[in-house]
Amino acid sequence: MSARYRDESDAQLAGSNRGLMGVADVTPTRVASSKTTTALRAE
Amino acid sequence: MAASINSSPVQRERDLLGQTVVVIGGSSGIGLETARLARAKGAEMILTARNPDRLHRVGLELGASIAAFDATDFERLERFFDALPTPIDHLLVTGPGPYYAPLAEFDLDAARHDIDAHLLLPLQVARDAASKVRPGGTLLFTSGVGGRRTAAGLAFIAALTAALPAMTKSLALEVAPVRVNLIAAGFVDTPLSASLLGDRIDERREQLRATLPIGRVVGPADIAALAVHLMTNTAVTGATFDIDGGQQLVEG
Repeated sequence: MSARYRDESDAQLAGSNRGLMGVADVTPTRVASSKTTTALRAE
Repeated sequence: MAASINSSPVQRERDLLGQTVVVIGGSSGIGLETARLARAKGAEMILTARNPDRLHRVGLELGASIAAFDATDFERLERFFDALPTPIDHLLVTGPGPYYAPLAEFDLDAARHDIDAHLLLPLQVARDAASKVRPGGTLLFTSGVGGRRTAAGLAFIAALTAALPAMTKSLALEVAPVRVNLIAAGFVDTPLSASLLGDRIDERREQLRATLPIGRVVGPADIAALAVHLMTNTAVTGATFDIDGGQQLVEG
């Protein structure tokens, strides 16, 4: 893709093209400590 | 404290104590700064983002609830709203940025993704979330001012940019008394912008400092301040707010 990047929102688009998806969970889970990492389990 | 449709001017200036704010794209940039400011004003935060590690760090920082997924996966987005434990007061969508390229290099897949992220995502959010938002709360969408210029290579982004204010106004009628507003930003100085502009970032910053009427570069905290204002000012709906430091005035 030869788009030119010019501002913050452009930067976010580029981020979206970098394959950030992976581990995901649509259920909101409160993060109270580092021990809650398991809330980010894979579906 | 739920947002009220009958707030007095004094009440409109209250903070967000007791309110719940959802930020779609809340782990970086504008979304992150808005989440920080809303949290500082007392809001309970629910954040989503694609990157689970970064989102988790932000969740720890803000004591927020988090959900890691791509909001343009609309089936997941619907399940996210179904899973919300309580009514919410405000919701900010910080979608990905605009795609633009000369016709000869135009990438149809990238354009379709942009339509999903800029046009269909707000519509899906409005459809899925409006019933979850307390009366007087707001749906906040984000856009840019760059696509208002007339220039070769901007045909697609120009069309999207023109569509969003119109969509915002119509949605404001359709989901009332929930409010709907749009923030249109220019250049915003974030670490991500810096990483993409690479060694051109300092030059761009300097250019903006030298040319913008405000004499400085707009940062994500500036956008956050506007976003929180729009959450608390219950008189505002169907409106588009430019926040670019006067960039349109000097760059056409």
